[in-house]
Amino acid sequence: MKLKHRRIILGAVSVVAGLSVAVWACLLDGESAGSVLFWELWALFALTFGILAYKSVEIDDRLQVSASVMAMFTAGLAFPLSELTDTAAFPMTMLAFVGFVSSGDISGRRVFQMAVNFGQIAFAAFLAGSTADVALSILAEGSGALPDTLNTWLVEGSSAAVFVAVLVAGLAASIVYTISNVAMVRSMVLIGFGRRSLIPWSRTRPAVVAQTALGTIGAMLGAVLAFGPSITLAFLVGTVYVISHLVFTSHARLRATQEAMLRGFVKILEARDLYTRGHTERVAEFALSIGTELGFSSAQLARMRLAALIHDVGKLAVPTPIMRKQGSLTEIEFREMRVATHKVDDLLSQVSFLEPMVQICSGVHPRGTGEDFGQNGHRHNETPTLEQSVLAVADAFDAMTSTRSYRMAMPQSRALAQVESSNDPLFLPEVTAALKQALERLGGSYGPPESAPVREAANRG
Amino acid sequence: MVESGRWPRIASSLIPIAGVAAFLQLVGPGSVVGPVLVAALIMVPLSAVLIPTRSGTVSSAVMAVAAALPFITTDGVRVFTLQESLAVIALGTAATWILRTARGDTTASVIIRSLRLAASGMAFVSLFELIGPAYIERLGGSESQWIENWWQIVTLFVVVPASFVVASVVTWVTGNGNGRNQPLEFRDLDVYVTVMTIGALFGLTFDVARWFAFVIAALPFLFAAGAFRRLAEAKRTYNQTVRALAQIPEAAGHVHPGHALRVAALATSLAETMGLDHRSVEDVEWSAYLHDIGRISLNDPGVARIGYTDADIAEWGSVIAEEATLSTVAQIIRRQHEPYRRPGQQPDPDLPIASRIIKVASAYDELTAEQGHSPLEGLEQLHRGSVYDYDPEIVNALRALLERRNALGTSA
Repeated sequence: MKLKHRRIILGAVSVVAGLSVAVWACLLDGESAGSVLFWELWALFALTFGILAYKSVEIDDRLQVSASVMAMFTAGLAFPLSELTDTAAFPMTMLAFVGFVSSGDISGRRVFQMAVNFGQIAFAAFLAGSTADVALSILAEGSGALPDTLNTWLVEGSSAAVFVAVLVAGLAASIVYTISNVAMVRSMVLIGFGRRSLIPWSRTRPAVVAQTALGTIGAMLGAVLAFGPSITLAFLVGTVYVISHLVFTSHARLRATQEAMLRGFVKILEARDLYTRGHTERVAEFALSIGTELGFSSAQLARMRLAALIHDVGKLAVPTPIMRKQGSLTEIEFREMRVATHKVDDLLSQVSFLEPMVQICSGVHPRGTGEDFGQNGHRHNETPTLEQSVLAVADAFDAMTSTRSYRMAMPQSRALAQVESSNDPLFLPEVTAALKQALERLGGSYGPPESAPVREAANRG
Repeated sequence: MVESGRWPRIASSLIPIAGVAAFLQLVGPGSVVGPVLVAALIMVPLSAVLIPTRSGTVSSAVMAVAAALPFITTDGVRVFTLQESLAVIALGTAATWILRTARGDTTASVIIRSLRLAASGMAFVSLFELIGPAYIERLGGSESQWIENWWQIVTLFVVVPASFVVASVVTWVTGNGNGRNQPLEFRDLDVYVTVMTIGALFGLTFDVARWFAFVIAALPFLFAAGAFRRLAEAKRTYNQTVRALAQIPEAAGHVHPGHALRVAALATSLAETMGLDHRSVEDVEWSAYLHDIGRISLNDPGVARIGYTDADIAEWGSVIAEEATLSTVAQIIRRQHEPYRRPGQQPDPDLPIASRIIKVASAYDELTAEQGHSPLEGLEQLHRGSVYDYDPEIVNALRALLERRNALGTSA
């Protein structure tokens, strides 16, 4: 309940902040803000931006990117450079009025997300626009032009100097835009959903890189449009937007299909044993928290996640009686299980990209279903890799803290103590320490974050 | 046809030089200096920038130059006449020909790529000139009027796809160097349009930005090329994952080893033979990989005790693909066991063609690879079963496929 109230206040604050920023941008821009002369240009940009933002795609886990960033920066640079407005901040902030709706939020009736998104986009856009303004005026002054007549600079100055200035200003503005966006999303998720929902937001690098690149390209296109406005040029710029959007979409679709396929396998796997339901997902989340704590790169984390998702798939080949058996396995049963899981490991390691993940898993597998952890020796005597250890710790920790057919779940603190005191060579001390830190950071609660609502509080722009 | 010696390569490099000399003699642009040479030379490094396409082939960035040529102006005056544009493409093609030969590409692939480039590039500039400025002039307008005209966009809309068709036809006729003649691959149009758009963008910005236009065009181009490359990589990964997972029932000993991969290969060829569009072919491929995945549940002793039918296995298998993004695949797997027609009834029009294809492919593989029948015997059995079980249309397609592969022996 408390979180819900916080969300309402946060949404209201965000809307008010967004509106006041917009008013401020209007005031800054002076008299040209009232100009309705170029309403069709405004309408064109608003339409483009709105459609692209509405169609934003999830490119990586819970991170949304859309080609609308390009349109925003195009408008932000094209308008002041062609003297339609005085500042870049004004057109960019205005676009926030159409950018906060996305198809997912509307179909899910998530008012909070839309309210927060509005304020967030308006604020980030204003900051980015102001950065561009400052950078442009400094650079214009440096090249000897009058700071308030960008257009004269365009017409009379050397075109290369202007384009370099736009490149620098666009890059700076996109960095400001992306960073402020991510910072705001993180703090709003923290306030509105609680600390443990923040986990997905620790891996923002792919989206940051993509958005910065898109913003800079958009700014360059804006300069091009300001230099030689023509219908054909506008058409080509639009084509660039559409192509970027299509590439993102097909990437997202492919990713979703692959995830769905893996989930299907996990579902069949877990259907065979009621007690392991949700185990795979939880192991994935634990492994990610530990990996984040250890400072893994986003590529490493993505690999970790896939490894966790497939770490039990080998059991699909294990006969069900062995899997459901309570207590320890006999020597023969154990061998049978190992043969089956190894066969699947061999299959999976044919896949060049899965091979490192199978290697992560293979150190963990022979302990079987995870029940008898600490008893079954694993076959490697050499030191495990960091990733293998993370997966092993996550696997064992979840197995201990969830109820099994023959025992109740262990309290979290006892499980943690047991993992720490274990002499299993797979549990590297730094990994168990990271688990402890991750649990502390999550505020004493554990388990996967409530992914559904958080997913939608995505940073769009 | 890999060239090993140095002399054949040098000899093959003489062909384009002679060709260009003859071409220039024929077309005769005013002078082959300055801009023409520069533009032709730009094509050489661009030929090394390769972008993977959806169909699995690669496309180079050379066509960007062709797209830029009609748009390049200095102080509002167009730089390249039609003859000069043609000369640029001829020279550039010759230069990339020599570069590729020197790099050690096979003569066949060099010839095919050069032909493709020259044909589509020349088609683009000629068609563009014909529909664009020339048309406007015939209507009584002037060239400068045309530059600011909607007609430019209309022209692009017609000429870009048209030159793509020319490129596809060349690839179709000549093969793509590995002996496979592919039909028109319209799904590759996105990469082609990207290259052409960026080229035209360069041309249009050149007047104001001069050589800085390179930077302006390179930014979105590199971004798009990187995205396409990542997309291709993700696709390969996905493909490999599904293939590996599809073999789990074999690892558990419930399916004959290699069944899933063989059925997928056969079903995909059948779907292609029957002329399905590429999306449906893809659906057939994924469903075929996973068609026996339901047998994983045979590990359950309860299942073995109570007994099961093919329908059960199909149903269990479809659980794998239940999520919304895979609903087509789930539907195909669920209905793969159904006969195409039941006694006394008309064929069910809702039964997906992919399900029928997989039924035939799976049965054929069982007959030949597991029961040891010859291809001809297997085919005969399927013909006999085509009253109810197997769709005769698909069995006929299978016969056509096997005949083309000479798998049926002399008696066929």
